[in-house]
Amino acid sequence: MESTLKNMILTLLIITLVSAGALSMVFSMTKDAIEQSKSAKTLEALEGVLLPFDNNPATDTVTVEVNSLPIKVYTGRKGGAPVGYAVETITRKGYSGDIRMMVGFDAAGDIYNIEILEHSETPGLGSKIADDNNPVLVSFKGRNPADLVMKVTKDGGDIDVITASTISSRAYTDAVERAYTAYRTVALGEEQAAPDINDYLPVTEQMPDNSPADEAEVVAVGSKNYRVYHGVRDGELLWVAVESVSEGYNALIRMLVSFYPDGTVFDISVIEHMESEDYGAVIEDSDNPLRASFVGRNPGDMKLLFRYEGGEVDGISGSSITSQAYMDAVQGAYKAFGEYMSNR
Amino acid sequence: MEYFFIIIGAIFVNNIILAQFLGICPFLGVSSKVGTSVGMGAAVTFVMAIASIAAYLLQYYVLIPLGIGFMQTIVFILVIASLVQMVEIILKKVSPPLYQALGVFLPLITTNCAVLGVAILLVQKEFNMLESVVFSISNAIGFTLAIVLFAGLREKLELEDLPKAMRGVPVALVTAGILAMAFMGFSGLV
Amino acid sequence: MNKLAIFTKGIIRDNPVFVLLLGMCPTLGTTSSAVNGLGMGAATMFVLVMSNIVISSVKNFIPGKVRIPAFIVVIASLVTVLQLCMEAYMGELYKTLGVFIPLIVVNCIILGRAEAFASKNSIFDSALDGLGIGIGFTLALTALGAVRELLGTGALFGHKFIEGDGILLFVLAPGAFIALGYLLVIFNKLTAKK
Repeated sequence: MESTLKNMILTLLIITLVSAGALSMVFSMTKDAIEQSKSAKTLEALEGVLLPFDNNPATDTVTVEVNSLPIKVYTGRKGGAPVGYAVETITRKGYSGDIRMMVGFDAAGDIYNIEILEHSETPGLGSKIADDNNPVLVSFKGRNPADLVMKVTKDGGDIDVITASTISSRAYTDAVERAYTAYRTVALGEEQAAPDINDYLPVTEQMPDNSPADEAEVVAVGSKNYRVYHGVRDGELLWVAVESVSEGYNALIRMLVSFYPDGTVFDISVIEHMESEDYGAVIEDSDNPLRASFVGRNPGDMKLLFRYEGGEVDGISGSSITSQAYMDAVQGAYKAFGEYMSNR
Repeated sequence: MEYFFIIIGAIFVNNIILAQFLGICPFLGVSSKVGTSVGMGAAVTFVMAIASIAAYLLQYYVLIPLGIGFMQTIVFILVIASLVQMVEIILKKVSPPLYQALGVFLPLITTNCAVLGVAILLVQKEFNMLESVVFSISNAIGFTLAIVLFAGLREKLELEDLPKAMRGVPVALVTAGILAMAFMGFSGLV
Repeated sequence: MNKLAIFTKGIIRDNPVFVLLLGMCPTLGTTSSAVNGLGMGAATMFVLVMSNIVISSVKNFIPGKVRIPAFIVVIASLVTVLQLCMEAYMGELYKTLGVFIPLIVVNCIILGRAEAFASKNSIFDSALDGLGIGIGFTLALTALGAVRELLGTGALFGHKFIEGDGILLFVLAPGAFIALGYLLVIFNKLTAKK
């Protein structure tokens, strides 16, 4: 075609208009799919870092600013009560660029899991921060940042580093610390202050001469971590108390199970629960049948099944899920007790 | 401080050529002499700075308000192409000596993916106006640094007796690899 | 030129990467693994074939002087279509290839084929040409990706063959340059003998 001015302008105009039309068509066709794939990714990350929830945390969010970086906090709920918080956090201290990650806390403030959303760390070295069970992640999993010195071991803290990737590990720690600050801002606004553990620690005839509340240790059993307290008098172990969390009917149940050094259960007290009134909530009564089945006995010698299953544990009638959770928590605590004693 | 990180990051740590692989064509094509590579670097710096401002304004005052973010690629490339043409025409009229120095490189820049790449990156990184300009100029300096260093190496390489299959681009690529390795020493700086 | 020759020339004789040395940015930037190389090659092939078809079918309506801007608009639109579809249905790959997807616009191979072939030949021939060159490009990227992945991690297409960490350098930026350099040497050596 001839290159007259009219021709040229007309052709370019037509081509541009046709392209723009075609593009807006493709755009409207793919729009939903793009949004879906984006929200599916967020949901996937949320499911990975939160205990099972029944709300849509993607719409239950608060954005707070921590060191002038916007941090988004998602709340996961079950039956309306928070089961945990997922914090979308970021650090600018990565080896090569920003690292974005999702840090999940359970209702008690322990880190449940962490997933990396985006990073550009060196493949094969810093990129290991995205691996399952890498040392940095393991240092955080199941632990409460309040109990940790949030620095890598090289800097005198509690966080293990990935070999040859100290900077990436530091950046990771920085992001978790920021997430914890954001978590506290949001979670504490919603909940009451954490219960004082001293109210639950066992009261024995001989009072310990150490300060059990300040000397908690973390014991890992399988993938779960337990906080273990102990009372000593004149160098002799009086009792060991294990804080154990299990999944109840509505939300997590957090309880403290205390043992004599020989493994006999001294006491069980429920610290936090969201079970239904008149049903599962019976577990907070000191004369409930579950507690009665355990106190004064060694769970290691017991057949840990309910009476109707041919075992030795009395459940609460009409609350089988709560009862199961209670028994699971005691069983977990007993394992942690065993682990603690074998390392002592 | 933020700006300092952007500058050091763009020039050394994430060098646009040696770490991000943008603008490889001029890197291999126009780097046999130090003189020409300095000219190319200057031209890229000039165009990149203007293009980043244009890209920023277009993105935040045209594409987003109109809700046509999906037209980004098409709008950016057209604007960069016409910008290069305009710069060429204006330079010819206003400053003949500068045109003499940069003119031959300008047409090559349209297809230099570094310019479009930086325009897209600054939107992706959600920089503000000033950060965008700093980012693009730092990248252009990084580009110039890499291309000039590389030209210096290639001038020496010309004199070497190499196996036939190795001559030209293959040995240039291996050299670039070694240069990239040297630049890796900067990572972790920021 | 017969149809077969149009199709096959891009694969070895005029291979865009190993012979014409075009499209170096995505070649180096996206080949940290064989799968990424394959994905980038396929994405480029899609744009190349489509742009050849479109340009060859409208070639008679475009005035010579505005030919290049017109081609660029066509290519940029096709790239955007690809971008939207990949973001919607292949999110992971789209994220990995990142900025190199929109940068297909400035890949010299595509504008080069539009100008040198599609604007002068029939639709069918242009499609064949695009397909041939596209396959040549994809093969080159996959080969480079495979070499880097194998040397760098001991794996191929994600399957681990060699235990241990591999020579990490090949996954990193310098490895891209070095691996491509030596692949070119091998390619030159092989084709010189023929």
